[in-house]
Amino acid sequence: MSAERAYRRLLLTYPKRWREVHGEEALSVLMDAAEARERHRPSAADAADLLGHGLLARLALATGRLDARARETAAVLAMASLTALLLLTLLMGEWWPWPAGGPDAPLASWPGTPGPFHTLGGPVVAAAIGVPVLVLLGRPRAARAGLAIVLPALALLPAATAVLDLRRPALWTLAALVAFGLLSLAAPVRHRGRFAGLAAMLSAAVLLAVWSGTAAGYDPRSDFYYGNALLPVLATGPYAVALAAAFAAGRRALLAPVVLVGACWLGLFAARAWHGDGTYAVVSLVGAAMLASLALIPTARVRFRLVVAGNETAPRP
Amino acid sequence: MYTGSMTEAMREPTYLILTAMAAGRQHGYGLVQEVAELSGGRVRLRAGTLYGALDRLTAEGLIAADGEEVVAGRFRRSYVLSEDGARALAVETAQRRATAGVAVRRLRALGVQV
Repeated sequence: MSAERAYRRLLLTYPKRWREVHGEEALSVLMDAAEARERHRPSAADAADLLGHGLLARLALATGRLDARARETAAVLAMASLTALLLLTLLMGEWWPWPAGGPDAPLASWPGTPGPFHTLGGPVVAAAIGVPVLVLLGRPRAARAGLAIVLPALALLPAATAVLDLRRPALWTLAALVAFGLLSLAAPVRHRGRFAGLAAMLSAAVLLAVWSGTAAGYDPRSDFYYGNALLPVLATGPYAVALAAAFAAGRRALLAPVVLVGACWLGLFAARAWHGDGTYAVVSLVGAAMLASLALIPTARVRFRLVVAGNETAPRP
Repeated sequence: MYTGSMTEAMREPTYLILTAMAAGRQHGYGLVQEVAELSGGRVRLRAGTLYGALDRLTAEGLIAADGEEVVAGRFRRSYVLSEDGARALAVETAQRRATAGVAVRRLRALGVQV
């Protein structure tokens, strides 16, 4: 394959609109550089550079269609959701640090799994918690770099565990974590005060739930993977708290974020409904109804204001 | 409008690209060569990084496209520094010069010649 053809193929990672504007000039730069270095095919570094920036350009194009405030709210909600699900996965699924009070002993680590974790997902999830910590410390750029490492690691877990003959968290958990991580890349999380409040509430809610489970003498770890509606219920609670807080802060720009982030949670619940019993279907319906009701609030508020003021030209929510 | 210096330091490749353009209009590969020369070979811009920076700088109004031509069958688009871009470069240069001045004074106090 000629160098030009190989570079053209790599440039396909960029969106069509970008290629129409920059495609030919970028190709000229690539060919000039290849000739200067006497290369007849793209180097691995060139390929990685084009793939990375091409995907970023696609993400920017996709998110550019949402207004900046909606993107920021989506990122905050997604990061809060990611935090909640990471904590739930770590504490309820991978590592149960307290002795179970009930008749069932805690599940042991799968042979060959590093550390005290139930599956190979444990160390990855534990490392991923560093991302929300970086956000809380006011390091959004470092948090994004952390996501760039953690998300591929989560996505590659099914393949890695298959090769190493180890266990992994459930696929729907991994899919939801990756989806929340990608959504949180939709905009830089800069307002750490706002996020800190959300994260604090989420952490408190999750820890409260864990404490409740301990107090009841109940080992929820097996349920986290194989059992009943515990996860959806616990996950819905913190999300509802986060959503309510974000409504208070963000108001009208929330419709798109609610749909985006809510769809991830509902996808997670729906996967459980398909895999488990009817309990999840009920929880999914309740969750959908709750999200739909909340999403209608800003619309209703604006309509009310329109009626009161008689102003038909006010901006749509 | 340039707001970068208010929130975060300008990154090295961005600073070098703006410095390269301060000499006049440049096309993509010309920028790659100029940046390599300015940085003493430390920074070698790849096409993805270069066009990511050019897109961002154009969106921020610091540079603008300025003419297209085909040379030896290759399409080239040139870019120039805008007035906002020149101001941003001046602000960043002043900040870097001030920091460098402090570093030089402190190193001399330690007996290290710079």
